[in-house]
Amino acid sequence: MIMSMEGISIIGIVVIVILMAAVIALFALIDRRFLKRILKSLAVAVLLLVVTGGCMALLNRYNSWWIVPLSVTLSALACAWWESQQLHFIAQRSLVSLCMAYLAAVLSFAGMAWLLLKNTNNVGLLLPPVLLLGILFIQKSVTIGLRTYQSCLRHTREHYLYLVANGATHLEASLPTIRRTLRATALPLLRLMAMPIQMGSLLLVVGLYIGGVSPVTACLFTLMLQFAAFCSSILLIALFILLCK
Amino acid sequence: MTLELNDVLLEGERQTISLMVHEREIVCISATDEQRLTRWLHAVLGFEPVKSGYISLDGEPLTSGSAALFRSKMAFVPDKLVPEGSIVVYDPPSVQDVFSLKANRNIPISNGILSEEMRKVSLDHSDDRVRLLAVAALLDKPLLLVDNPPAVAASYLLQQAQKGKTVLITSNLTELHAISKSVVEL
Repeated sequence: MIMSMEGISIIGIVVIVILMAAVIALFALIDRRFLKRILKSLAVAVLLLVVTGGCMALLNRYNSWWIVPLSVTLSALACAWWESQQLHFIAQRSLVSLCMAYLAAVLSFAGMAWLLLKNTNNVGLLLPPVLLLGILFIQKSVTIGLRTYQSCLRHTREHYLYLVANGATHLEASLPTIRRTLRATALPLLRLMAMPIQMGSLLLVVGLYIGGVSPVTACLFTLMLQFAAFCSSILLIALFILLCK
Repeated sequence: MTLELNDVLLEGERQTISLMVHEREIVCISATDEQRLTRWLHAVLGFEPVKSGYISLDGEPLTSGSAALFRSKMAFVPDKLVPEGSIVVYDPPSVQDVFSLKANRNIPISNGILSEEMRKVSLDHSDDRVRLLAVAALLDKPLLLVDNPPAVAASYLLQQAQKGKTVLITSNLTELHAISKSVVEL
C-alpha cells in the first residue's frame, strides 16, 4: 500500500522527528522514570493512528454499502462492552439496555452526520471516520453520566423508597437521579465546547482547513458535529434510564 | 382499615410474623436489630419480597400488582433519610418534594401548617423524625407506618390512632410499647 504524502513535506517530518528525539534524549538524561511513560504514550498514540489510518485505507479500498451499518453496529456494541467493563453493575443487570441505547444513539449520530454530509461525493466513505469522531465526543460524557447514575442509585435508595411509599410514581421518585445524571452527562460536553482547545475541535477545524475546506464550512461542520454528539449523548442516557426501568 | 400479616416470612429471616392492626389501634414490632425492623415495614409497603405467608389490607392480599394501590392508602415515616455510603452532595427529599407529587398535590400545605403539626409532635424540632412524622400525618392516609419513632411522639401517635388511623410502628422503646395494643417481639 502506497501512502500519499501530498501537502506534507519530508523535511518538515524529519525536523519534527529530530526535535522529538532530542526531547526524548533530554528526558533520558534527567528523568529516566518519566521517560518510560513518554515512550509508552507515544507507542499507544502511534498504534491508535496506525489502526485508524489502516481502517480508513481499507475503507477506501473496499468501499461498499454495508460498511456504514457494520461500523454503526460494531462501534455501538464495542462502546457498550467497554462501558460495561468500567461499570460493573451494568455488566450484571443492564448490558442489553446499554447496547440498545448505544445503538440508538450511534444511529442517531450517524443519521445527523449523513444529513450533514449528503451533498458530498462520497458520503459512505466519510461517514465511518466521522462516526468515530462522534463516538470520541460522546464516550467521555456518557461514562461520567452512567457513573453518576450508578452512584445516585446506590446512595439514594432510602430517598427513592421514601418518595414511592408516600405517593410518588417511579418517574417522580427517580427524577432527582435522572436530573443529576443528565446534568452530569451534559456538563463535560458543554465545558469542552466552551473550551475548544481541550476537545480538539480546533484541531478538527484546522484539519479540515488543511484538507481544503473553507474556514466557515470547517467551523460550521465542527459545531454541528458537537451539537449532534451532545444530542446523541443525552438520547443515550435517557434511553438507557428508560430501558432500565 | 385492617392490616394483617399472616405467618409472613421474609428472605433471610428465620422467624415468621402474624399480627393484625385495626382502625384506632397501634401495634408495635420490636427487635434488637433495627435494620430487621425496617425490612418488615418495607414488606408491608411491597418493597421486600415475602417468602411465605401473606400481607393483606381489608382482606385484599398484597401482590406486586396491588402494591401501588396499597401504598396510596399508606403514609410512611422512615427512621432516617441519609445517603448510603460516602457522598459529596446529598439533597434529601424536602417537604415540598412530597407535597408536589401528583398524588399529594391537592393536600393543603404551608410553612405554618407544617410548623403547627410539628409542634403537636414535639416542641423539640432538632430530631428530623419529628418533621417526617408531621409530613406523614398531614398526608392523612388511613394507614400510618412509622419506623422507630422518637419517644416524645408517643402521645401524638396515640392521637393519630384515636383519629381513626391504623398505626404500625417499630420500636424497642418502652414508652411506645406502652401505647401499643400489642407488641410483636422478633
